[in-house]
Amino acid sequence: MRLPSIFLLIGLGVVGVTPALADTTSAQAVLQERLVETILSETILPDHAVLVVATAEQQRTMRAACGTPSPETLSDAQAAFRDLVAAFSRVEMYRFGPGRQDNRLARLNFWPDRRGLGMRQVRRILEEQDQTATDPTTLRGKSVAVQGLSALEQVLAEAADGVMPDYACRYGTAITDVTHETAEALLIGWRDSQAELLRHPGPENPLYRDQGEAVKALLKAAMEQLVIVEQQKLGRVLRDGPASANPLSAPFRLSGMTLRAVAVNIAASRAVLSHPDLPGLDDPDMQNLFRELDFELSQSGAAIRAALEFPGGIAARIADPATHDLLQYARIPLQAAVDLHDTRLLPALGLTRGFNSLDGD
Amino acid sequence: METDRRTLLLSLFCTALPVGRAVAGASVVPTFLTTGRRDGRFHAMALSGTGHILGEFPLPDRGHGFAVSRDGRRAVAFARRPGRFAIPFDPATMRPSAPLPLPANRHFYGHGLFSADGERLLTSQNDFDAGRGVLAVHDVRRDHRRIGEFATHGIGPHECLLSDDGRSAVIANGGILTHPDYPRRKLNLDSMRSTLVRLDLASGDLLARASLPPALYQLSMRHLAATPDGATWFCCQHEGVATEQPPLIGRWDRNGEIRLIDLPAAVTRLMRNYAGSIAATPDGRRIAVTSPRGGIIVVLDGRSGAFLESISLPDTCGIAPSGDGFMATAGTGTVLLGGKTDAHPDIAWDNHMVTLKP
Repeated sequence: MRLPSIFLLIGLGVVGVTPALADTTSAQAVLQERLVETILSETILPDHAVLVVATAEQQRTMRAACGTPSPETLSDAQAAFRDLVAAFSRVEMYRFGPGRQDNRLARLNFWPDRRGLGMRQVRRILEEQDQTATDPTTLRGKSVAVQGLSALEQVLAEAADGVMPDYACRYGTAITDVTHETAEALLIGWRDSQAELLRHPGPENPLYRDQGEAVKALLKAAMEQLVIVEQQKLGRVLRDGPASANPLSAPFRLSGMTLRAVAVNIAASRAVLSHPDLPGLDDPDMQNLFRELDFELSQSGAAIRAALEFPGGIAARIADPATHDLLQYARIPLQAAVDLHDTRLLPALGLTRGFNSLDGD
Repeated sequence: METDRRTLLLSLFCTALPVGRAVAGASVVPTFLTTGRRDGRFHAMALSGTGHILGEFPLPDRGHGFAVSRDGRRAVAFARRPGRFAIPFDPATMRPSAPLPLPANRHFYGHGLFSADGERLLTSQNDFDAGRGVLAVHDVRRDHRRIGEFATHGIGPHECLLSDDGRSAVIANGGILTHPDYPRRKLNLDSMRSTLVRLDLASGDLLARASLPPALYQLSMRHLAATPDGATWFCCQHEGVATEQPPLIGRWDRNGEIRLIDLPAAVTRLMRNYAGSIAATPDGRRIAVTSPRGGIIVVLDGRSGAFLESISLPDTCGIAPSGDGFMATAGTGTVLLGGKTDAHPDIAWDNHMVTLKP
């Protein structure tokens, strides 16, 4: 086969550089554009706004728990933390753009902490009562592992007899300040920059040449989150059975939020991937495909909710054979959803997954 | 001008004269080695100078790069990171032998090299419990037994090259911390640092080290190509914010200086912060870099670093010298050679391709 004409016409210099754009029908292009807008306006931007509110509420309740120590104010701060974990778990998948800038996602939550490095750093700060960790400005200059949710969870666990020790209060308050600043920067980054880049692809756009690239970036984030949940947040914790299960590797173990956070991760991915009721979507095959994705992810979410019925934290739950089985089952629909995305959703949208485009090779 | 452009392209992607020895049962001798996926299975493949498949053997999982001895008689196909297989084989017959032994606390990074005499094989590996890179040393004549390892003085060693005099190796420490418990997660993006190092192959001593300016701490140097003037060319992937788009190609001179190559802004933008493979012509006059995300091949002047050309080839990554030019492959199955494309729609060509040396 002879070269396509464009190949022979490319000359010296930048003139004539032509990107390889996806081969997309007009109906697919319309759907891609609609998906990008829907995901942005109904999921990403509202979820980041909720994160800002949750970090502000954590600031307020932490200050109250420290200013007026009591079991009630401490309980409010702990409840605010659980809400904050849930809000974070909605946006955890967006590891690009504003989340990558200034390492904001890692700054919000350091995970995985494979060798307990972050936990040891926080422990050292608490033991040494490092005064530079009580000022948000100097705290920001420290390791990202000591200034986010995983650190705050450890600080809140310092409470005894319904009150927080003085140093933990001051360190914890500084964490809430940093976290709130980071959440605000994330929202601004998405609202003022990343969303516009996704909405307006084209030759001059530094990131997205067409709507296909834009929607693929969003779908990829959701898919990667499902893989992380399936393999790392569930698989590595559950292992082969209750006897070999490893609760120590579970995120948000100290606050009892492991499975709730996982359920929110799945729900957030579902909001990005599944759109059976998208206004104007009249292609029955596409509707069915979205329903299949929706079904798989709802099955997984239902299994995790059922596992939450078993009392206790993650350690107790995965030690129970029936609950362990439930959580193992929850992994299967996640795998099915990933397969549906790769083999049917991308082709239906006129997209392909580059064989050589993965990270790190 | 049309003629000139065409002539340039044809010269850069010309058809090489066949080199090497005949593949058993085949009438054409192999020139290239690469890996690919067909029918959901992965294979190491030998290609002719015109891009035809001459022989192959199956791989347990997705492959990545190759080590090839200087005489072209031995080669090793490596798993894609964090894979655990490395399979020696005879390129003339494509007959594999027993895989390399590998300790439980190591995995391969997809690349390796043979010593000049072909007696030692060195492979880039991850000592993942310690979070450090090593260059493991294998005795080729004793079933590739592991006889030691050298520290690479960095994290995430990736491609490594033997020096012209055979006494040292250049290794690209990509700087990205990974662990097989968290497949394809990058665990240190906030603090990563990539380096190029030169190690003495007799002692493992660190002879030289180079790094990028601190502002570019998230630029990961990963793939290498050597030129006869003693320079090592490298290409990178950027782990920072996507809109930053720093240079992705550079040159480490014999005097130890690193120079990053500025490309036209539109080309840099098209590369999408990710260069997948780099190759140099034997005379060092041309350097080619592939960007699978952007679907382009960038060609530079190997002496001045000047940008010469960019060529559209969706999902391209494999590239290797072919005579005075290059052959390129793509995940779509396309082979680009001799000014023509050849379609293999049933094959997804993998990241790397090497030219066998006679």
